[in-house]
Amino acid sequence: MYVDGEEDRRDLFQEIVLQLWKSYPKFRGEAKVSTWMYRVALNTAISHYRKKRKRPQKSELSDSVYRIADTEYDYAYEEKLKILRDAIEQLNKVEKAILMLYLEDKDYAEIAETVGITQNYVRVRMNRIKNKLKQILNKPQYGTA
Amino acid sequence: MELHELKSIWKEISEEHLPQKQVASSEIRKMLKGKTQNAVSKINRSIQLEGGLMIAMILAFSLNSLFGSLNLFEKSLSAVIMLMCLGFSALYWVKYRRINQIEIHTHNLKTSLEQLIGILDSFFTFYKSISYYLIPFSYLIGFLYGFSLASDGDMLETLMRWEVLLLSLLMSVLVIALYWPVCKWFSKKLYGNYLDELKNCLQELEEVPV
Repeated sequence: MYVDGEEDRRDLFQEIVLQLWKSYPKFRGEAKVSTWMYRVALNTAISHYRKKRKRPQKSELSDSVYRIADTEYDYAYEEKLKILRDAIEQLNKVEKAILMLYLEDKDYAEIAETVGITQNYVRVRMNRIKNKLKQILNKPQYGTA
Repeated sequence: MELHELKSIWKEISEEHLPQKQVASSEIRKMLKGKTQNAVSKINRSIQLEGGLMIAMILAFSLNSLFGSLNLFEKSLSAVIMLMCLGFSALYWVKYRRINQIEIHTHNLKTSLEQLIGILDSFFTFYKSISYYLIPFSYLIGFLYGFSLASDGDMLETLMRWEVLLLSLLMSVLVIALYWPVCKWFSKKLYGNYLDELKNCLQELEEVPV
């Protein structure tokens, strides 16, 4: 959600693992472990500092690319994936955070706790995100106009 | 497409990709040995590096003041440089302690952003103060020190010759005039855009719902 390209994704994943490891001794059990983990991951992803790459990334072929030859290509699935990516891409960082927690089945109370805003605000933001996504997904290129 | 459909796609992707994304414990161990790349760690590393340089300079100038074959003027300048480095080191140490007392990743997103912006802002102010006010002063002392070492006879007499005075003034103006914009551009390039991004993000969070 927050980075493009395999290399950046790997870097961010490593950073999240490191931050979880470093922060764990300070975890006092005041929140659920999952909430705490989402918090650390989200904070790390949003505040992730990276230099802008001048050249396009040369990344190794991922496993999924090798699997293409072995498995039947699922166009419908790929189309859905593209729609999902395109839609999320157009949201800002805070909206992405709220949407990601919503998609992970977190309730408004947990989203509010993780993000640091009131439940009422989460509700308002969710409505805005819904409207924004509706506008994005109803564009002709997604075939629902 | 509605939001609940998006949710089902998300679930489908997560379930399908989860087994492939599992990481072996050996790989996690390898990851934990890596360096963190976040902004605070980078600031910490640069403070450590500059602090190390300061200590090396304190040692060098202390030895120079004590044992170097210098005249009284040069010994005094060397001592001034050493004291300046000592002052900087103390400031670096205070900054380093403050930055490391804050744990930014375990709070909620809003608090975490506020703290990170606070750290970066105070670091910038600190850096700018050093650059804007002390660097020209350091340049002047360095210049006098070098000039004294290079001149054979009476330093003041040589310095007062109009061509030397003009050249020295021109060089000083050029160095100071070039240094400030370069310093501003460099700090903006290094962290300025990143800080703006974080501030925008916080602003989004602070928007009052209507």
